[in-house]
Amino acid sequence: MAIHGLWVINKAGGLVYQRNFGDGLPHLTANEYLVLAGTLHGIHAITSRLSPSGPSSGAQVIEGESFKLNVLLTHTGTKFILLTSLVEPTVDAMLQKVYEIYAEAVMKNPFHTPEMPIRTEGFDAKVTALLSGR
Amino acid sequence: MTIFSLYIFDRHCACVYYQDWHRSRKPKPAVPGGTLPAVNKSLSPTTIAGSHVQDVSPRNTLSINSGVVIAVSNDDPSFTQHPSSSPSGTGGQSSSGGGQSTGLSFDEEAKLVYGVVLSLRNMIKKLSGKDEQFVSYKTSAYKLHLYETLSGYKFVMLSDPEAESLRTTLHSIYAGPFLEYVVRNPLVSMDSKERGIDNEYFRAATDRAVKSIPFYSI
Amino acid sequence: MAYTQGNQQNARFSVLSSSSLSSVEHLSPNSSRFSLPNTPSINTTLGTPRPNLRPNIYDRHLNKTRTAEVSASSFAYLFSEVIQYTQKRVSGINDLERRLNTLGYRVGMRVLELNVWRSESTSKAPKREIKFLPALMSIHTQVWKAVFGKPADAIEKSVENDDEYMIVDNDPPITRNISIPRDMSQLSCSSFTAGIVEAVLDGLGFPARVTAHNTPSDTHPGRTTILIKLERSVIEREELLK
Repeated sequence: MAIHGLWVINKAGGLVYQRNFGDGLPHLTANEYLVLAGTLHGIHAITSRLSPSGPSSGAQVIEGESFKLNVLLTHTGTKFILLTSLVEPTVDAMLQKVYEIYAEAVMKNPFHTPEMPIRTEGFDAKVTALLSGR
Repeated sequence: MTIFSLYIFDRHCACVYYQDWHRSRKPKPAVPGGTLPAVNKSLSPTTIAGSHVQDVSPRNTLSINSGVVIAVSNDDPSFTQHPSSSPSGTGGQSSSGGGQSTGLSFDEEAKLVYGVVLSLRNMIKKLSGKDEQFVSYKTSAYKLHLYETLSGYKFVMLSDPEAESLRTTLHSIYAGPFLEYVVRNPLVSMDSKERGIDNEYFRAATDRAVKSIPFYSI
Repeated sequence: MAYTQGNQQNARFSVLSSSSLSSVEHLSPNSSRFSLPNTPSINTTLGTPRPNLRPNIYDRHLNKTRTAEVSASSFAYLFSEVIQYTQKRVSGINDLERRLNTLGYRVGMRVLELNVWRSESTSKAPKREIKFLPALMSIHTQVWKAVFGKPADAIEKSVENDDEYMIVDNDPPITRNISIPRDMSQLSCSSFTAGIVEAVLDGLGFPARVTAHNTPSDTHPGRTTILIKLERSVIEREELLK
């Protein structure tokens, strides 16, 4: 059980928030994260088209050998991505909680510009309280 | 629980084999030149109607009466079959009643699958900081599993989203049918960049292997 | 305490004499009456009130405070827009605070009016605070409850200046979702609250200059102090009343 990181990707595929928790995964440069987020945004769109049966969502869980990426796509196109260890049963609830914090601390903050990088201390503090104690 | 399809890609990014089972949305046949010959008979490019008798390549001379797919030459102008009307195909292949299409032609679909797999593989490697493999991803409708051999062959299987990891299955297809009927088969030209690896025994053996997966069912 | 007629007296009567659908409607944030209730478009979007249901939020009596609550989220979005709108039209932090103060002042005038009407209009011997400390206490509890749904956390008196008083709120609801950027760290959006306090004090006859300051503590990162600097005349009058 470990949380490695949190990303928020805006509806255009830009990384607007990135946080690492702990040292479970190496810390990359800001630029590398930007590129990865852009890639993920593209892949997410393609995966919904590859469905062999009926309409499909985009990728929801992407697994490696020791960690996974959990993707929450909101109805407004914002993506929340939580990097966790493979066994993390409450991850969906956690993503919903992060979304809720985002709606509270970011969208209600008059000093945040929508679709732009999130530099909101309130969001940082609440996300830390939610995720880093685990 | 079910298995939808299997793709095999070689190290030159080309799709060399395709087979599907309970797939309700089928891709359209590939455009001419879009895919290699001997990948999957029913999804190879269709040409102007004619007789469908001569779908025997000069080299693979298995009897067409067996009703199993054998290699089809891309440049054989007389090949005529549509996927929906194909009388052949292994027994496990889903019937032609699907009707629904993904809107993609087979070669486009194969390229997208390869692109997604390759991107995710690189992403996982980058994120892990070591040589960690991408294993699977899942959406609301399906789950994609990857097994990559040391020689660069990528086995990609699409299954029900709730399926367990299919890595062992993919490994056993590699260690069993693939080694037996592709690697050891002198009539299959591996790594040729020109032909796929489709042949009757391999298709039948793969079919058996997939149907022996515990949660495989119609 | 005698009920003295202040400047606001006429306005109050005009409110009382008119029906409940008057200009007093767009009052305090806790009042349900945010927009003009007689706008037909709003009423139609809400649907016509069905029989056997309690009257809709626009038609409720002014004195019904128990259920007169509005969504904190709606207010947060509105207040966020107010700040963004204001910020585009000002030339600095002081200017922004002054404008927020002005907006709060307009709210405060009406809050006072409504509160006095609610608590005193049915009384046979209506009264009004004429001493500063009881007035401050009533702001701390009554006004805060009416506007924010809870009393403020503390009242303090400055040890340095005898004309300075402070109301402390550990977690002001209206700025709960606001994160001030570092380059504007001295800005306090509670200037709006300061404006409300200023208006209430003004209306009660205690002219003062009221400002808001961030005074975060470890346990309360949003702790805010409303600083009240009374005018000399008020201090002098207080001396006489002793």
